[in-house]
Amino acid sequence: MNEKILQFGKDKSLIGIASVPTETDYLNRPAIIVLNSGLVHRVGPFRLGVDIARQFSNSGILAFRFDLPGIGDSTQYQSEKTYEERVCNDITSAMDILSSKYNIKEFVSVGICTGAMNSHIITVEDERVVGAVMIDAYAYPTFKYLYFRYRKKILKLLNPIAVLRLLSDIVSSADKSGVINEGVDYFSFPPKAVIKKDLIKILSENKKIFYVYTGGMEYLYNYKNQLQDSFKSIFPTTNINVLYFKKMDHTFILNRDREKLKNSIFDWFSESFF
Amino acid sequence: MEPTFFGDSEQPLFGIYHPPIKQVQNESAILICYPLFQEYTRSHRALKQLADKLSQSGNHVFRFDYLGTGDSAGDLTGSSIGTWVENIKTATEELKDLSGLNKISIVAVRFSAILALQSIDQSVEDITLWDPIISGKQFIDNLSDMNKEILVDDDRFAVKRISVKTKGFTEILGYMIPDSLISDLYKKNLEISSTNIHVIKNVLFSNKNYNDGCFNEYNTNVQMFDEDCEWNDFHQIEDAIISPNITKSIVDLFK
Repeated sequence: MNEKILQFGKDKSLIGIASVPTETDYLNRPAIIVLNSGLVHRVGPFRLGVDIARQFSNSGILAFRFDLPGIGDSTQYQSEKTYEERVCNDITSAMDILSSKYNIKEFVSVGICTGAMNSHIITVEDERVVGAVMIDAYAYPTFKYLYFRYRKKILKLLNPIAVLRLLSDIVSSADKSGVINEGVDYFSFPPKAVIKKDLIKILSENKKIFYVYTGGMEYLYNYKNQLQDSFKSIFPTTNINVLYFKKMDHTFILNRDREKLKNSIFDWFSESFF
Repeated sequence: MEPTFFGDSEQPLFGIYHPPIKQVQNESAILICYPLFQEYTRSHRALKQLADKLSQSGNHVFRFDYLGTGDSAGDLTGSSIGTWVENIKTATEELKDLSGLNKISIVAVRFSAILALQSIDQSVEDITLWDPIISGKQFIDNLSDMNKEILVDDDRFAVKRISVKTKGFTEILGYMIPDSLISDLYKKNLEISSTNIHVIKNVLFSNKNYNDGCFNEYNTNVQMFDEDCEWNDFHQIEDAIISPNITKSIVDLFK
């Protein structure tokens, strides 16, 4: 195992680990940067971050996993910048040190959930990022999504007793403001128009994206082509691949799911950048 | 903070040293031993914060990942109870080198309590236990029960899943654990006796249900808290442990 610890960024507050291949082929290929999944530290849910990094480095690709400020072992620092600006700065610092130490020129960012959003941000902002893997990223409702989400309730409307029961449930589940809390929060994603604009930019720069959605996000993404249907003017495009793993959960708790995910990511990377 | 790889260069362990921020208060340095499997992930933030607070109080602190876990080398196929006990000894030596001190205090969380008690030698001054696992059988049974619940949890899976047996391994809450290791963990209990009880400085329980009374016959300082870490609730297996009162108590122990 050839792993190196790097401390970098503002006041050397960020900590990461580079998995460096033993052969030097990695110099001609993008490196992958594995971002934090939510608040889980760089090891990743069920050690997924470590496993992805080592799989890639064992196959000749340099891989780097690190903690953003305030997550894992990296220290939070004071900043007046917006969240997006800080994330860009921090991931840029990671790329800078990898360029400096290992002469890496191109990168592919990998992230789950908020990590996927951060992956999107840096892919838009930095020309060195030539690709991104976004797992359970943003999702936007389509008619088909709404049908799949509410069809059971729609069918219940045909049964008067079920209607009365449903009305009773709605009244009792309403919060104090009178708004029914469905647990769906589209407002945590950027406006669809912003993502569309970003995707147009990303594609104009010939960058490549691999989206993976899971059934763990069923309340927001619930059928195979929902992303394509959300951005009809963007698709089809050979630069974007989308996989939908309905059976899998958001953090890949089952080992066979993690194996399938890792192999999918690696296969996409190989086809895209080898 | 000083992250480092240490130990066997072929299979290095990952650790982080927290030097004292102010004048050194104690003559022993503090080694923090993480829990196992998903409990490790859940408690990572809390134990990092504990290490920070202890170093701010003037202590040398070191925390590390066992072989096959975290950022250390290998995977669970190369791990065993014996290996992990040796890892604690290796980490102890590393901390002595880093701190220049010859005495070590250990803070051991959950199953690490069992491992730490097996690792003690003359350089270990004392051990503090946080929600120690007392019965390996009960530990594994609890994990297995949670695993069964997880597979049919429709908040997690859109489609119910089943457990698929892989030869030589048992999958429990996200980890493929070799059957030999499961068997070892199952048979291990917290082995306290009149010969080693003097080393146990404090025992902290976040919920009275974790205390089976095994310390009653000894004059051990047992503290009960009302902030259950919910180690055995499958709904919370991905929630970070937040235990400010236990953290504060541990920091106060070393003042």
